[in-house]
Amino acid sequence: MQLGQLRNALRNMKDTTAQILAVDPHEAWSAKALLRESGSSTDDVSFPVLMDPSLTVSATYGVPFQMRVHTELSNRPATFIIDKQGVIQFAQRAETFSDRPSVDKVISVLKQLDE
Amino acid sequence: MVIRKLLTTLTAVTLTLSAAASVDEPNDVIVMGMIHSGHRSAGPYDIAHLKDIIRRVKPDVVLTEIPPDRLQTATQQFHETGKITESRVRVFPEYTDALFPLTKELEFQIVACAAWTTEMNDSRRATMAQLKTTHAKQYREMELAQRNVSTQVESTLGSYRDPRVIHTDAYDAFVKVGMEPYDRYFNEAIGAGGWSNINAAHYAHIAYALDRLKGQGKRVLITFGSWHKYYIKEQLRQRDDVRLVSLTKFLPEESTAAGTGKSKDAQTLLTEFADSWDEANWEKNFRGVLYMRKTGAGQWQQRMTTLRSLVLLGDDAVPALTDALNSPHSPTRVLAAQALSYLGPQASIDRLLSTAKNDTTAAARLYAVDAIGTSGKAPSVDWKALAGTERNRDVRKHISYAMQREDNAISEQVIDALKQWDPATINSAKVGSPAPDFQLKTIDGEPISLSDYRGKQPVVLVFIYGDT
Repeated sequence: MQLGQLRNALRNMKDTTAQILAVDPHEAWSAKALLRESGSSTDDVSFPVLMDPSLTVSATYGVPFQMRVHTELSNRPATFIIDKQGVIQFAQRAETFSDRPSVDKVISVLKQLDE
Repeated sequence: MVIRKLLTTLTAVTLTLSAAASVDEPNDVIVMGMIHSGHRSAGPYDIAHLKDIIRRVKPDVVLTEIPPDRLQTATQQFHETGKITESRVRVFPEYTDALFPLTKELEFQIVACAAWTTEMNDSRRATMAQLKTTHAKQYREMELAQRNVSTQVESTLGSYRDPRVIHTDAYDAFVKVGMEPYDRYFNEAIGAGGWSNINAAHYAHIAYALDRLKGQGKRVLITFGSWHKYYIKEQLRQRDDVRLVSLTKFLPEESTAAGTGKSKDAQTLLTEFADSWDEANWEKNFRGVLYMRKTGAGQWQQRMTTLRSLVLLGDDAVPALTDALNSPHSPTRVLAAQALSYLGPQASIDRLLSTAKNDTTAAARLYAVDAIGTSGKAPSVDWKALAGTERNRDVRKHISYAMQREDNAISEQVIDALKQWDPATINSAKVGSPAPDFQLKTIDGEPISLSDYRGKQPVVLVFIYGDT
């Protein structure tokens, strides 16, 4: 995932104070078990990982049951950029497994918001 | 050609409207969705109820789905013989049996606002017949999406033929989603009779009539097919010279009770899901694009609303869901196991365990393992033995999660969130629109709302599938 990359890039930007929020379609304890398995802890994740086990936020944002991964019918990866006024300015619902906007793309959208 | 036709009919609209003096008062506009031949069946939206609702609205003007070149003939026939045989108007029982007869007791003006023509209809039919072979895949997607509308409405809102259901925003949202593939693939090919095109042309007539009525403080009732309603309302919301009034204000109490509020049983929900779920195409699509469904494919929405409806039934759904674990249809078994994972301790552990051991579909085994975990009864299972015979790595992983969670059942808050979720908000996040607000807990249990950041900082919201 490029979440870490994105976080680091945002940290280095002087003027953008965007908040990254990740949404995971599982219960917290299973996400914790996954982190443990990969040798990390919740402290290693420096942006909030929000748990959506009822899949309701995922459904509202149009992503559940659209990808088969780890035998589950899981969320389609997706990225939304929401401006300070709460309006969606950018949306990308992945067409393929690793289809994410590049860090540069996210930063350029955020810069436009600042103007 | 199309433009000239439109201009001719618009002139006809204008002629039927008397130019009354403006009182500088906005018109109240009520949009009523019609179900055409459906009004002939008994039920909360039959002809008698329809007439009753129109009486309650007491309109000054009714904008109808009658083409301007047909109105005069129909009106004449009605006055002379009491019957309408005009070929277009007679297909609308709402006009022949309700609206025209009501002219004898109420005073309102009927205005013809349909952009429909015979030529348009014939050409549409011929083009669709061609497209069915030349664009078989898209045609099939269109059919599925349209069929999903009634299934989704019935599984989440109630009877498809109840005015209280028809006049909800959720109904409009389902129709809009259901017509999207038809519109995207075929609007251009069909031309004037395409979905966006005909909607725009109908609305051009409506807008023309409303322009003529501007400032007269009248009550205007718009009666078009219920599937056109979302489009018309979207356009009307952009006008500042009308007040859009919900039809639900005029519905009698009894139709409030009839047909709505009663939910479908779990068996019906599962059967409808099985009928609509196109596993072959789903699998094919998955392989085609790296295990990813095509964006815009609508079936996930039906799966989501069915899952929610099943969980909403609670304990009542458990027997049917448990039986469905033995369904010959694997997507039904997977869905049943997943739904049971939201029903907590009510689920039958023995039956779930049997699925976890024996089901030939890995996803069914995986969700059955999850459901045992969420029931809080994980400690009663010999997980080591199960893991020993399990050949799928992902299922083995979930077995280890189930062991680790011990007797921690799924939280009531998760179940309530699913029950309270409004299906009308499905897929409502759109660029240029306010981001739908939500509150979720972080991995550490701290609640965060999207609106916490409003006015403070932009948010990059990233949906992940579980691996960060």
